Amino acid sequence: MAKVRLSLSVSDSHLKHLGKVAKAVKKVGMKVEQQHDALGVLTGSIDADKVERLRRIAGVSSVEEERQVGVPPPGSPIQ
Amino acid sequence: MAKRARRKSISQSSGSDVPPSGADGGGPGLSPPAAAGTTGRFLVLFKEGAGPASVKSLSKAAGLSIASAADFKGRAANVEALGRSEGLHFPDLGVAVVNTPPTEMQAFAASGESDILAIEPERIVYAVEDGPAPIPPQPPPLSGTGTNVSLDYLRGYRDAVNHLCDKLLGTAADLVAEGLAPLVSETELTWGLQATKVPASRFTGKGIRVAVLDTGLDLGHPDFAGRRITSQSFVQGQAVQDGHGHGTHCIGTSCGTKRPGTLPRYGIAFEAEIFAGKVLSNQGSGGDGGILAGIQWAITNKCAIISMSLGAPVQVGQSFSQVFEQTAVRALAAGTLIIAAAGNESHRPQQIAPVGHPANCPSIMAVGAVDRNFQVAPFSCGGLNPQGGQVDIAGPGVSIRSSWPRPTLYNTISGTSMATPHVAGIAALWAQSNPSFRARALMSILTQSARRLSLPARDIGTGLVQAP
Repeated sequence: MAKVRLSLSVSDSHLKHLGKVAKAVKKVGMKVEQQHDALGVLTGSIDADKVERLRRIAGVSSVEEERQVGVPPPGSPIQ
Repeated sequence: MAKRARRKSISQSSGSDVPPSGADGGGPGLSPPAAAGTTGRFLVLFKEGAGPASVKSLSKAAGLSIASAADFKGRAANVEALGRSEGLHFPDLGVAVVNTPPTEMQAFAASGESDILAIEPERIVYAVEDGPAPIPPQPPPLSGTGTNVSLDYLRGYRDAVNHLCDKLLGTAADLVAEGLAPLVSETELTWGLQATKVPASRFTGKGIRVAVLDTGLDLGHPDFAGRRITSQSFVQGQAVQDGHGHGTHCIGTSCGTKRPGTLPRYGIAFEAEIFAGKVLSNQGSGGDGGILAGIQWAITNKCAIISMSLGAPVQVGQSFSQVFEQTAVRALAAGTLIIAAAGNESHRPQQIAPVGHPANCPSIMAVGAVDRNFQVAPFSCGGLNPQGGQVDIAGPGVSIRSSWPRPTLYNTISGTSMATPHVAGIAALWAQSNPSFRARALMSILTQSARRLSLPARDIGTGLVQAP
């Protein structure tokens, strides 16, 4: 099963209980790599077919696949 | 000298119609008719901190009887009912409305003994009519072609013709008229610093922490010697040391030294504390995860400003990231303003691309780019998407010189990536100027003080950022 890299944000009501939400998403199978308390955000990866389960966990507000961002190569005139 | 009018209680006269002094044309020796659009009364502005004694002085010198709105105890004070030579002082506003010609007042105001800052005629104002916006008529299809010509085609055609005409006819006359004379020499200062009024600013960014999330920084660059720099890599397997150049260039613009090894000066907040977060690899790429980690780090370190010259393109009609929007809202609550590049995917005039991710979040300040002729840069993205995606402000973004990793030391490149650190550096100057300029208040003063240009808000927000 392919793994998906993702970011997850908790609702304001669960901002102070980020640790609890982290436990719950780990139980569902998410590998939590980073926990950002000031942002209410968890980042990591999970099996693609389990992403929907994350959305149903209490306190989870948004779940998004990780986007790649970038800048052009150093020689480009427009950066 | 005007006779002191018999003192009428304002509350007693509120029911009767006492016309303003100028409205009826007056009699011999009385005031001239009020100018069109004014009531005939005058507004008197007192200096900040002027007390009741100032009002008494005015009363005495101009022969006026001035009541205080504070005496009305919750009932509305009525200026319409003022008799001649009467006035009403609003102590919380430092303003009095007086019903007498200003001649004696003007002499008193000019005497230097008064606390009067200004005297203005009271204007008549009207409710603005507010109706449904007219729907522009659909143009009929061009006949003879056998196919419908789309609105997009017509708009593109129009924009291209306008662009061609502007180029041929030149807009220099308009710019000079607007007070924006073309910038000629870059021997001492880059054009970007000149256009944003940085050199004249007395602020330096001292005491303000600016985080730049990018490809890192050339920590050994001579122009950054002696600066307070905190750095952290969020790219697995790579150190903060900038192996690309982009990060060094952006940190140079926002926070670079006032005295570079080689002129021109290219840096804005030359006394700011630099927080260099590497969220993009030496190849220039990264992911949301690294950016979020960088934002968390900047907030934990109490950075007032985060500058992000990075992004990913979005489609027309696409909405913004909820995760980044919530992150930005929480950053604002913590006193941190996130500023990001609008994106470089446009090819104007034929094609305008929408503001990219994450600048398209409403709570992130999106920066578009202009050139030294104050035109929108051809690559600069525009506010096309109804869900977020607005450009908030513009910065210099074409042919921008700044620092570059050794041995090259300096480089001149273009992009909304270059416009963004202009806004970030200037944000640091504003933040230093007033401790209340943080988060939304900082965003607000930046957009309010921007130089308005004759360009669509879709492309430049409120205008070109200006230093305090």
